[in-house]
Amino acid sequence: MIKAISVRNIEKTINGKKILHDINFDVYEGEIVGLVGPNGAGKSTLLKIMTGLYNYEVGTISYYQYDLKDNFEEAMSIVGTLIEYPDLYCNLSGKKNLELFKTMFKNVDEETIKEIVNIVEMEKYLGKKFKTYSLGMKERLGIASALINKPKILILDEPTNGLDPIGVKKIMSILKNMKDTTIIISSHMLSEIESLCDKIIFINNGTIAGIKNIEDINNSKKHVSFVVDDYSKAKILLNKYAINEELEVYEKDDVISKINKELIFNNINVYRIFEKNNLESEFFLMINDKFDKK
Amino acid sequence: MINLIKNEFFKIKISKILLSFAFFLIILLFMNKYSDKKIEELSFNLIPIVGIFLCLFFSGTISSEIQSGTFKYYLTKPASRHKIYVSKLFASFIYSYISVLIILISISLISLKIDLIYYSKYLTYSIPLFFLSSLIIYFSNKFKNTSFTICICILLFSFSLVLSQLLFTIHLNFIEYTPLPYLDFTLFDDKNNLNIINMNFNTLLSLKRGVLIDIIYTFIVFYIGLRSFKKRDIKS
Repeated sequence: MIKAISVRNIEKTINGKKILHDINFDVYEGEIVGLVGPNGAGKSTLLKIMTGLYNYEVGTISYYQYDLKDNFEEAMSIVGTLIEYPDLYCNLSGKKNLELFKTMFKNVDEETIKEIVNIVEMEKYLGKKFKTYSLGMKERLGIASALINKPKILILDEPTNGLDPIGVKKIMSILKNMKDTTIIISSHMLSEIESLCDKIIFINNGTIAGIKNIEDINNSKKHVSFVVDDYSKAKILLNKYAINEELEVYEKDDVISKINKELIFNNINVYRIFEKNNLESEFFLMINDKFDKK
Repeated sequence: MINLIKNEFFKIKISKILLSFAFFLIILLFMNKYSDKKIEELSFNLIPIVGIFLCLFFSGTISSEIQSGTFKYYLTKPASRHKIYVSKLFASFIYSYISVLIILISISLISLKIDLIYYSKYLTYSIPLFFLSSLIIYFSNKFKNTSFTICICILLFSFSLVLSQLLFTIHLNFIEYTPLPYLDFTLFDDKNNLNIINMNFNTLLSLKRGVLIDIIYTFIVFYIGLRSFKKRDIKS
């Protein structure tokens, strides 16, 4: 497999405080990677470093064969970015915004712009000024501006922030259809990330807490919660399995079945068993320092 | 690079720039009609007005892009920070000199004569606009605040001579080696006035020195500004 993104030993200090410590990871061509972590973990800082908005003192970042520091223009010519809120030029129309960004790339023609506008379903609104757009439209135009060079790599920081469920669905469907594009995306919407990504990078306190394939996350264990009649008795019984006070366990299928049998065997009526989002479970395990890094 | 410079004018809006050119024309026609002095003499008063428009149009060139967040997109495109900074500076140079050219062409058309000595004098008197451009871009990057940059640049540009004389009175004569007394070259038109200042404050102000200092400081401010721009983290 070809390495599309290579991040090595990245460190970042802001105002004397170390924000990122020795960040290392690789993303292979065509992979969609989610960057997950609590607020202040360093996700946005990392993505800003990866897009050239922040400088970095230590480490290297490469996109294919191009080093970001030494060959910034070549590296960024194959990367599309959408960082946080889509702040394009308010007084320009959507079309003029795209034309302005078009001039910064070689070989981007009108046809490509039309194609991209079509993908983000913005044909009708291109003539209107950016400031008149709804948040969803702004986000879609932001994605169009990120796709203008048909990038091999797409870096997205919270692309669905503030969007309604329809907007989120639309953005996710655009991203799912991006074939052959390597995507690195940070978001707090864990269920969306789970459905989109192949791999998850967990980041906490400026370090990588772990990197897991989504298949491993889904296949290994399940996060379930039990609804029973005798809560206190069940709590004592589930003590060794439970990950919190809410009769929630994060175990493999056979263990869950065993727990269920144990509850019934002890005359506790199990009314319902809810399956929860696995990525969410991994996330909470990470921030509670119970994360299995394997 | 040409595309980046074009983008700068695109962002300011071409219509605003054309309006400023129209404003210069109207002022010239007005002066020609209602003043007894020669239009060539009066035209030097337009250089500070070009400077003020320069401040108004280019003070937000970096600060407003940081404030509005557009830099998050612009700086992640394949153009180095070096090129982006230079394109912004060149755009302001180009605006200054197109304005000066429009003024000169208009004057030639109004007075129906071509005076090369006058043209060269006018172009020399416009040299402080180079320094002002580099200062505007530097402040725009440094202060991140468009209004503050506009205020400080206009104040410096308008009151440079008064401020210089004030500093000379308190014996801060090193000021003569800075661009402060050389932001408005019309001072050098009146030789008597210049001699009085030089005698009173024991200085050696001259047009030649002014041109040299403005050019040197343009490069110094450009270099410092570029370095700081390249190292800067773009926070939204």
